[in-house]
This record gives sequence, structure tokens and C-alpha cells, in this order.
Amino acid sequence: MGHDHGGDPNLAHHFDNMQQQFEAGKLGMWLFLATEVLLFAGLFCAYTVYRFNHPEVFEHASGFLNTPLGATNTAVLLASSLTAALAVRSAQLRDRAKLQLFLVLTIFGAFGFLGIKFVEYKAKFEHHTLWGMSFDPANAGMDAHDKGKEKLAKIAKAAEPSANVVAVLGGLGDYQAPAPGSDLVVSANVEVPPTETLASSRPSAAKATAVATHERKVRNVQVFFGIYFCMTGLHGIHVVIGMIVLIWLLLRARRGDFDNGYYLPVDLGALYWHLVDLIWIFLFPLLYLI
Amino acid sequence: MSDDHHPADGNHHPHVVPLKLLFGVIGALFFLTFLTVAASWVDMGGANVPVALLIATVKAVLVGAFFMHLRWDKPFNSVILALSIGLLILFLGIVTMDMHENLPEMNEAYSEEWMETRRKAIVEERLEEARTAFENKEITKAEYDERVKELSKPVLEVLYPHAGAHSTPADGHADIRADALQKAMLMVFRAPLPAVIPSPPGNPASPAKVALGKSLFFETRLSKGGKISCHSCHGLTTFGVDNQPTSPGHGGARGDRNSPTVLNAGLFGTQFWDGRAPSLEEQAKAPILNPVEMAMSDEAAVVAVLKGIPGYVESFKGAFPGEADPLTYDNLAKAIAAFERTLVTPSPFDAFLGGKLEALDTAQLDGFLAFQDAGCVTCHKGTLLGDGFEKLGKVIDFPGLKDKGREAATGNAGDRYQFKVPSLRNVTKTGPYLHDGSVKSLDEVITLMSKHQVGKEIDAAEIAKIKVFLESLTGSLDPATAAAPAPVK
Repeated sequence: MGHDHGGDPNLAHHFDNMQQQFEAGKLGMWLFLATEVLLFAGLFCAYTVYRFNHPEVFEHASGFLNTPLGATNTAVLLASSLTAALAVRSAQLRDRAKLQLFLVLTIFGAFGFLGIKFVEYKAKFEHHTLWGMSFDPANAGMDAHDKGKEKLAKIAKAAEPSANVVAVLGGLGDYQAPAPGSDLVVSANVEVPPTETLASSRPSAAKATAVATHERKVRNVQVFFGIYFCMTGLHGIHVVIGMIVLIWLLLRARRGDFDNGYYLPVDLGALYWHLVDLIWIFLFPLLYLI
Repeated sequence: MSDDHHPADGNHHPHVVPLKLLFGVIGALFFLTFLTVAASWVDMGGANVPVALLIATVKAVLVGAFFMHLRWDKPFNSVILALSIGLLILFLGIVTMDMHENLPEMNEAYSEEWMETRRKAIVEERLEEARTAFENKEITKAEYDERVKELSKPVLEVLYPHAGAHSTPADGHADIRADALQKAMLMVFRAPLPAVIPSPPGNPASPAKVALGKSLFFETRLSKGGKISCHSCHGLTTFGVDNQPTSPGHGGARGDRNSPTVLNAGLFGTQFWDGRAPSLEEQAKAPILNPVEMAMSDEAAVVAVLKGIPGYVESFKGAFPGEADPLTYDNLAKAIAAFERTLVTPSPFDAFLGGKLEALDTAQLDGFLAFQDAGCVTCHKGTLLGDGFEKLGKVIDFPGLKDKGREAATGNAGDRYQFKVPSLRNVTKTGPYLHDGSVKSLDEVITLMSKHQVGKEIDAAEIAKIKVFLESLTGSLDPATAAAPAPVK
């Protein structure tokens, strides 16, 4: 079937010309991105409601997230956004080699992000800092038998807090203070804070310890992790989809599809990737930096 | 369709973003990422979240305008994005609408808890600092201990705000809660036992009156059979009771209520399980004439018996000087009451309340907290840890209750099953328990009280703790007071 509108094989027959096709494509993409924003809007609302109702849960639980890893991932996504923009630029300039290079770098960024996210998720699973009924950090690292309390009792005994501290705290319910010579602060119904948090997420180890140990009365911490996994999970799915799109673009670039200055697919793929970045820009402070 | 970048020739002429600009943008983005992390290290109070969101928004604008090309696109694409973000903000506005308004009132109690949590966190942080300093040998052990001691104060203030802002742990007491708890207990129990219970205006005490009262208290001739005295059922060496469910009276007859202890009884607002006597004086008159107790026929008969004993005629004269006819039934009651006001049993608990903090040990303090947590203090308060009236079966009906309690004294149906809240002083020694002495063990009665009066199931561990505290309420009567007097001839 011949095209009526000149020789460009990339021009779909229902468009008058390349300019119209380009603008329609962009408009369609932006409409889609708007629905993406609205998809995440529901989760942001859930986040806001829970945070209003349980500020102490969020303040406490965010201490369990690994801020350096989160910040690194932010940088990785930003850098991959730059390479995506550079890929578009190379396509505009009909530079196939650079287009491929930048697409590969962007895909690397996506892999890097998912790799770091995997490390974070893995730690959460190991520490049982999960959603709903799965939130059971006291049981982290225990074997199949319910030896949690035994083990905690042992740790508590090894910690041997000084007489003074024991005396202060003897009647204070489940509130415990750190004692000299003990690295772990334990009471019977409390999780051992994941060491992942202790050293790394705050500039002052003392503050981190305080954050990790003060809570005792903070209940329903699992609510935060439910929201955390929903938001980062949905975002992660977007990263995977973006990666597939980028790989598809790379294959097309290798085939020379974009050599003649037709770069709309690269532009739209990059827009999707930028949106993934954009959402993470908000998720990072809201989840990690509370 | 006629702007510079999109000429109307039908061909698409791409706008190529300069490299410098792209790298400038990424530089700004990296800087802003660092900035937002750094901002989270600073506690800006309520400003942390807005600052983080502001930085994120700036980053988003940079990404949108330059990476996503909106800066050079047709404005409609920006409008679409703005629309979606506007909707997001609208949703957020709707879900948070009521929260802004209600937060302070709705969460008043919550805020208290939050404050408490915050303050504890601060204390822990400082403890951690002290610990680190000690481990790094920056401070000595003594300095460390001092800091821990200092830090314990805010914690105690949080837990016992009514205990005063400047409590200092007692020197040498192993339990530095002691001082705060002593103040907290004073709020509930008001005062330790006095050395002697104050006399009412109509019956001032005198040594002669007290001595006469003591003789009368031990006097078996005040009973019909000549075998029973006050002391028969209210043994002073057995904590003022006879440890029987109900007491044998004249001819072995038994009433239907348990003999309450006579010790410290003068502090009660009313006497008897149903409070039918307003004072010790009134109370003392009753058992002598009660057919199932001492069973004397009438007041005159009692007075006649005493007038036949010269020693008593003398004693009454000495005890009620200036009265034309001192040997009356009323004066008999007054003398007995005066003696009973000397029957006080100061205990370690009183020493503690009086400020001698080492009088109670850590286990007993834990016991008090358990006692408090179990809800016992709601009724067992004041110096006596009792007094006033409560319905037996306040929360859950008490099974098999025949005695109508205070209703019998007042005739008021609203007083049905109301009994005087007994004092818990010497409670470990004054079983069996309840108005009818139907409950043998302390464990049992604590369980029943918790269930029927508080509405909670209590476990053995809590009972054990409470009993440790109750032990501290066991006091001792001055042996000279408890000793039997020489018979009056």
C-alpha cells in the first residue's frame, strides 16, 4: 500500500505528515503518563492518610530503610534519565553508535536500580520487616522452632545491664535503655533492630540506635511496610516495563530504524523512563527520609 | 502551528537539547539529591517534610522541563501533566480535609503518648552518649553512674507526672523508682497510719479511759454466758480477727457475717460490714446485746454487772471525772472505743509512705504497680486501703449472694449488695475473706475481686506480685497494747 503523503516509510497513513504524527504521538504519550500519575495518586493518598493517623509509625519504621542504598538508587535513576535524554539527542542527530551506547547505559541503570532494590528487599525479608501479618522482626533469623523468646532472653542476659539501669527500667513496662557493654537492646516482646539500619542510615550512630530502640510503644509498624512494598513494588514493575521498552528500542536502533532521523519511539520510550524517575524522586524522601 | 521549532512544511524538525544544558541539569539533580538527604539529618520540626517535598518538586520540574522536553514542547503536554498532578493534589486535599481540623482534639491522648515516646527517645539517646563516652574512657564509672541517675529522672517524670518535678532517688536505695513511687502512693493512700487514731470531740482519750476500755475489751463478764469478750472474736494477737468464717457467739450460735478486724478500725467512716454504726462508740454497744454474740438482755443488765465489780466502779470514776454517774452503758462504749483507737499496726508500707524509702524493696514496689494495674486502687485507697461502700459484684454479678448488705441498714434498695470496702491492712493474716468469710485463700479472693469488681481475669503471676505488696501491709501491734490486762476485781 503506498503512502499518499510523501516518501517517509515511518509515516502512518492516517497522519497528514511527520510533524502531525510526532505531535499526536507525544500527546498520546502524555495522556498515558497522566494516567500513570493518577495510578500512583491512589497510593500517595493511602500514604498520606496512614501517615496522618500514625506519624509515629512512619517516623519509626522509616528508620528500618537503608537511606544510603535509597540515595544511591536515586542517583542511578537520575543518571539513567540523563543517558535516556542523551539517547534521544543522539537519535535526533542520527548517531546510531551513540544512540546504542546511551540506550545500553540506560538499561544498565535499570539493572543497577533493580539490583540495589533486590538487596534492600532481601534484607527486609530476612528481617521479617514486611507487610501485615508477615511483620515479625523478633522472629528474624530464628529457625523453624519458636525459639525467639529463648534467644532474646539469652541476648538480654549476655547484655547484663548495670544495676542502675535495671532498677530504673524494672517497672517501666517494655521500655528498655541501652547498657554499657551491650550492643543489643532487648526486651521480651520487641524486635531486634536490623543492623542494616543501625550503622548506616543516620549520620549519628547514637541517633540511629535511639530511633531503632525507642519505639516499644509504636504499634502497627507493618502498616508502613505494607505501603512501602506497594509503592516501591508498583514502581519496580514500571522499571521492569521501562527496561523492556529500552531493550526493544536498542534492538530497533541496532537494526538502523532510527538512522534517518525518525526518533519518535525513542522519545516516547525515554518519556516513560523519565516518569519512572520522576515518581522515584518523590518516593525516596517520603519513604526513606522521614 | 507556526512557532520556530515546528515550521509548517510538514516535516518534523527536532529540537536538540544542548549537551551543556543536559549536564547542567544532571549536576543540579545530583546536588538536590544530596541536599534532600542532608536536610533529613537536621531536625527542623514540622518543616522537614515540606522541605523534602519542595526539593523533590524542584527536581521533578527539572526532569520534566529539560529531560522530558516540556520546556520546548507544545504547552498542551504540560497542561496534561499539570492536570494529573492537580488531580493528585485534589485527592490529597480531600483525604486530609478532616484531619487538619480534628488533629489536636482528636489526638489529645495520643499526643501525650507521642510526647512520652519522644522524651524516652531523647533519654535513650543521652544514655547511649554516656555509654559511648564511658566506653571511650572519656568519663569515669562514677560519672557514668551519675549521668544514668540524672537521666532516670525525666523517665520517672514521664511515668509519674504527679510525683513532682524534682524527685531525687534516695541515697543508697537499690531501686531509684522508690522516691517517685512514694509520692505517687501518697496521692492514692494519702498518709501513713497515725500513732494513735484521733478521738472524736465527744470522747477525748485519756490513759485512764484507754486502760478501762482495754479491761472492758477483755471482759468476759459482759456476756450472758460469762465466756465471751470482745477479744474472743477480735484477738489482738491474731490481727484482730478469729480466722473463722463466722464467729461462735453465746451458746455456740453463729451470725451470718465474718468478724472484721478491730485493728485500725477507728479510721473507718462507718462500722460493720453494712456501715450501720457511724462510730466505734455506737459499734461497741451492739455485740454485747446481740443474741448470737454476747447476748446480754439489755443495757441495764450490763451496767448492773459492772456496778457489782468494785474495780470497775473506780475505773469509770477515773476515766470520766466529774460525771455524777460515770458508769453508764454509753461510757462503757466510749471507753472501749478509746482503747480501740490505740489499736494501730504500722507496717513497712507506712514507713515507706512516711519517707523511709528502703522500707519497701523492689519486689514490693513491683507489687504495688501490679496492684495499681489490676485496678485494686480504685476502691482500696486511702490510709486504710479501704472504706466506703461498693456493690459486691460491681461488674459481674456475684454468684449465690444472700446477704443484701447495706440495704439491711438503710432500707434503700439502691444499697442492695453494697458492702463496706474492707481495709487491706494485715490482709494476709485476716482470712477467711468477704463479708461471710466464704473465701479461704487470698489467691482466691484476689481472683474473685478482679473478676467481679474489676471485670478482668487475672493471672497467677500478677496475683503473686500483688501478694508481695500486700505482705508489706502487715504491721505489728505494740505488744504492751496487745497483752491481756489484769482481771478487774
